[in-house]
Amino acid sequence: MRVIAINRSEEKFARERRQDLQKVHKNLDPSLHPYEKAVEYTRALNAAKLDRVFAKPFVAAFTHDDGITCLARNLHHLNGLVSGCADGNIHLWDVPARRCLRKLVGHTGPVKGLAVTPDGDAVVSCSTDCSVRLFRLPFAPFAPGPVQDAAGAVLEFQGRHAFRGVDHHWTASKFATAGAQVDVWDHERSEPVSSFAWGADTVTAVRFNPADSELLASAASDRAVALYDLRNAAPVRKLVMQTRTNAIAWNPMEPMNLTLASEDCNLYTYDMRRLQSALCVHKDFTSAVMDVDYSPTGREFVAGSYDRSLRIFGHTGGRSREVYHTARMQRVFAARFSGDGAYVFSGSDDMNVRVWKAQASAQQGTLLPREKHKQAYQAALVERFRHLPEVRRIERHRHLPAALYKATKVRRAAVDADTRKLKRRKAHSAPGSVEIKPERQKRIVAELE
Amino acid sequence: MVRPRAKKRAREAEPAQGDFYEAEEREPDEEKFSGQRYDRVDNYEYELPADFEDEEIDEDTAFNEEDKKLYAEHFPLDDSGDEGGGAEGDLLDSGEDEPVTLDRDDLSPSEDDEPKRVGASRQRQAEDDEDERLLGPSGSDADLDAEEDDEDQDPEEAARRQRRLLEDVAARGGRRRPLPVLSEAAPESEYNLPPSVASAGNVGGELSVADLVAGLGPERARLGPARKALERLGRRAAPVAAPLPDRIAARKERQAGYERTKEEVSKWQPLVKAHREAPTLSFLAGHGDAGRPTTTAALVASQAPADGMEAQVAALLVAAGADSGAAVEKAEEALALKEVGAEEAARRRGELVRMRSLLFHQEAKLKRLAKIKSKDYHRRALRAAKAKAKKVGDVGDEDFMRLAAEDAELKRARERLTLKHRNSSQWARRALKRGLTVMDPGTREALAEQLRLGQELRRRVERPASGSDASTDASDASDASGDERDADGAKGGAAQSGGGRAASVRVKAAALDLLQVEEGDEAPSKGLFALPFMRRALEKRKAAAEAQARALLEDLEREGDEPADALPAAEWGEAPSRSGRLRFGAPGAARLWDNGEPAAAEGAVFRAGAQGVGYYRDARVGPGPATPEPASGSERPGSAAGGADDDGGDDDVMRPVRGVELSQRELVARAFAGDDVAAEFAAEKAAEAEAQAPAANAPSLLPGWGAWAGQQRTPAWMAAAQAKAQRRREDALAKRKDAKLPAVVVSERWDRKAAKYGTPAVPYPFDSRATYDRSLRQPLGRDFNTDAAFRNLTRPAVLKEAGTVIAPLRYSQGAAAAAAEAAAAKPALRKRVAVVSAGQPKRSKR
Repeated sequence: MRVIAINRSEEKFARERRQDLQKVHKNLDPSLHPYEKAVEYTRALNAAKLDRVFAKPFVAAFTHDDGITCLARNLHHLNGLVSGCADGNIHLWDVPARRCLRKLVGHTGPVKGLAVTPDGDAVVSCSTDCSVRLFRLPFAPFAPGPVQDAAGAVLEFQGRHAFRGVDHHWTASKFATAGAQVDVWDHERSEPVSSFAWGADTVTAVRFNPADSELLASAASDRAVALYDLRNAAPVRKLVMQTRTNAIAWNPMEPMNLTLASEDCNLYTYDMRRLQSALCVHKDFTSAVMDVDYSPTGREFVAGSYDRSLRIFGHTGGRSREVYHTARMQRVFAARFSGDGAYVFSGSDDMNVRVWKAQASAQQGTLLPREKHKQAYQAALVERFRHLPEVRRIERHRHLPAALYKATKVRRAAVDADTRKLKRRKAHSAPGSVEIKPERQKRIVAELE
Repeated sequence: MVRPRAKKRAREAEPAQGDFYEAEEREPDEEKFSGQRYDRVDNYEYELPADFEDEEIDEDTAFNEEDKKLYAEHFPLDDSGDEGGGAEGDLLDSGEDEPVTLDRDDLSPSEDDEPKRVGASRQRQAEDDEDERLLGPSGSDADLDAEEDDEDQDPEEAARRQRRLLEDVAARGGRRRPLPVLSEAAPESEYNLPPSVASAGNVGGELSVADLVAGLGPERARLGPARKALERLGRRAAPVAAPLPDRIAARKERQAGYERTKEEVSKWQPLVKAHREAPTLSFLAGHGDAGRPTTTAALVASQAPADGMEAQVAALLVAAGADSGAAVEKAEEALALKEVGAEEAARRRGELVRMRSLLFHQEAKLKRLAKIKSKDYHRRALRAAKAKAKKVGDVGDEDFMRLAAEDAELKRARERLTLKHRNSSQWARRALKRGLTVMDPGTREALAEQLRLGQELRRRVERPASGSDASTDASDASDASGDERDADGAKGGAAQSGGGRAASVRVKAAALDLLQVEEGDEAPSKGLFALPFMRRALEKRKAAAEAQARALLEDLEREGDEPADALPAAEWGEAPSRSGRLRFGAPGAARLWDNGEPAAAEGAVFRAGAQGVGYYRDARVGPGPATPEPASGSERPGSAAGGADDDGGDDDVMRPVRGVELSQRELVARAFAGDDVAAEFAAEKAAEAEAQAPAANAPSLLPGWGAWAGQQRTPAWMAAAQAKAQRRREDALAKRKDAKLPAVVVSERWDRKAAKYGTPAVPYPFDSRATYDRSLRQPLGRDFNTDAAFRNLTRPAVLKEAGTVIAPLRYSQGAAAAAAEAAAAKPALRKRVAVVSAGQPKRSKR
């Protein structure tokens, strides 16, 4: 008779150090793991709940002396955030240390636009005082504690009209300003290198394409968005929409796509080669969208609205995946993503710049590989069972302030009423006389050549 | 070539005053006037000469022959004017036939004549129209045409026509309409160009070289070759177009710019597409960027001697045989051997050789041992081989079938002779004696197993038309009346008797062998078998076996005597068994079942009898329907065999029923003979469906409601409502998922607990329920997957590190080409992770 005793070899099972993990030997035989779907469903449900439990996105707030009008992030250093104030001052923030490094003074009117140079050494600001100023940006000192020195501009460019926006070229030492027309300036020259005008209305925003830097887009108060190519001497195309566009953002990973923050509570993503129809309409805001900025990954963007909320959308998502708000946050005028795509900044009328996590429940700090895998597993589970009613309810739930919640309901009722009315009008009209335009084309007035 | 030129020159010399017919060239207006600077004003009014004085003319002499000739143009159908007109026409034709090349200069002198001609033709056209209006379409023209031929034969007719013509002319003269005159407000000059100039053609209103040359007048002939050059210039040099209006020019520029920008942007397309399609986009820069650490070995391997001293040293080393580690080792060994001396070296070498040979032998031995397999292994291998051979043999291998049949036959014969598995052994008998009720399950099982084995071994090989069956049937039916045989069966038997004979020969040999062995066996003189009762039993058994063997031999011999074509078909039901025992071959059993009379249900009981545990016919119940009549003409042959069977003693009461072969289906049918499961199921299903269908509670007649008192019929509205409710109910029943599945009930009740595991509709990105279910099938966790699979399944769509700046996408031609190439590859070969480092897609090394 043979006796088989269970035995374990010491060296296989003993840990070398006490910190080491206990080795777990697993048997992948499916018959030993029944009910895998039920098990994973429960895990997904728990993961969704945990995700909501840990969703604490707010990180910090930086106080100013007046309402924030614009933000810019340093393209080179993650810690550099520049904010422009309505009182004409510009603040440079060291975000990880949560301190102000410099107060850049000189403007006599509200700062309307900010842009950091590609080398990260300087910032260009424009104001309604008809000047564009260029300030040096210092490195953050290692010594802790507040450093709040004031610094003046290095260069000053005078224009003939108030400036409403500025953006810097992503590689060259050029920047474009928006005002009566779009001007392109060089650091070395006091006069604009070139000017683009198409129509007589004020241009309110201008944005360079990060990937193809010779391309830029501008939004004007005549409800038009114009595209320019610096390789040409003239603008190339104009898109007129029913409502004004407040801000423009190009997708850094998809150079042909740009997203417009519109006054009609929606954002529109267009392919610049096909302006007849938007690629996607991003809805959820209940008031005008004031600013939009893409994550450097190109997979999502953040938008701030006049309805006092900040939302994060997927680049192809019709609805927002996240909404941020606090009790004291007022109208959001500026929103930016951080350079690593992990944080979001918002500047609002309540004189604060707020720092948020891009993933509300993300854990800050270094993660062990085990933790990373665990979180990836939980995210994958939630993603997989997202459509099941319980998981869906928990995953989609966001608390909204009462005002915002009510406004959402009112807006939905209005939209529904419009839809219903149109449907009835169509039903009672001669066939073909009432045309229902698709949502993606509804707001387009014309595409001008 | 000379002639036209001469003619041209002649024309140029004299101003072509009366060149009236030049206008017949039918040149388009815009070309005709192209050489001229200003438009001409056509004056259609007839201007009286200065010295004109009016005179009274008699009506008859007003339009005489001469006039007619003069105005022939106006009266083309007039006969008297025909000759003159014809002559002129001929003249014209001849002029046209000449190959004259005309240019603008040639035409210019004759332009003064044009207006008259044009005006005349227009006037004529107007008159014709009027004619038609007055005389009708079949008026003068048609008549005149018809009468043209017989003109000279009838002078009267001619006179009449002339008169009529004159009347016509006279009638028309009074109401000639004035043609419209264009009057310009300002005099015509280069500052006041009439609109016709612009509309005259592409050159209207523009100065040309021709104008310049024309301005020279007759002097231009003196220009000589310069004139030609000027003309060429005039033809070739297109005038510079006026610039487009600013707005239009800007729009064109924008359009062109947009096209170009679109092209520029489209070059990113493959990169963007690749990134979008990749399951994971990774921005974890610098993970693979660090170079591999260089080892000493790698450094040494890659080291090549440089020029100069290094090369010299290397050469010296090679010359000394010390260029590699192996060479140095060899040299060192040689040195060591040199030190030890010759005999010591020989001894060491011998030792080495010995060790080597030992090692070799050991190795060979181990190899051989490794090849030796256990008994169990060989047994399994043999079984596997047999199974395989059987599998192969099943598929129509004739030889194999035959061999298998023979083998089975042999086994059967052996069993019938030895009766090894009849539960007649000592332990079996003792166990049976103690009773079935007190028997422990193991023993009962063993007994049943033995019985089953015995039955199986004794069972005929189940081949209805096989040779062996035919051969045994021959013996059974040999004394039956031959007229019952049908042709098919005979033919089948004849065809297969060859194989059966071979088998029977073998069986015979085996039986003889058995007999000889049993005869040669000496009875044991001591031990248990030497005891008297044991010896008796042995003898008895031996006798029984012998008798059976004899019977078998007899059978076989008789069968050998029978002619092959006389073999009958298998007629199981009718043919009475020789042994008087019931026979249940497969066909016989089928026949029984066809009658619907299960044997066991009728007159058999399961019990332990003399022949072991099995079915025994219960004589008290009476003979079954398939019980053969023993006295059906044939006596009971093989009394010895019968004796062997009847040794139980109680054969009169019960006879064992053996060899009943029932299929699984038959057994199940027998076991559940009483219950009608299908009907029960159908009733249950109907009840379920009825309960779930909408109720047919249509309004029915309530006394005092919805109808007049004393009304006999159901009101129409009520009947309609009831019919509608009924229809709705029937529709609902027909729409059930199990409506067409008789054996299935699909519950359509809303299950709240199950609902949370399913979605009400197919979620958005999926096109069908099946696709969605498939996406959920593979579990994700570590406890269901290997580590690699777990990582692949749970990898996030975007991998990024907090604290690393992600640069925007940068373009490079190579990367775009690689992306396009990857997009063309099969999806399985595409990378799972697209890595972007510093804005550029990173290409994997493989």
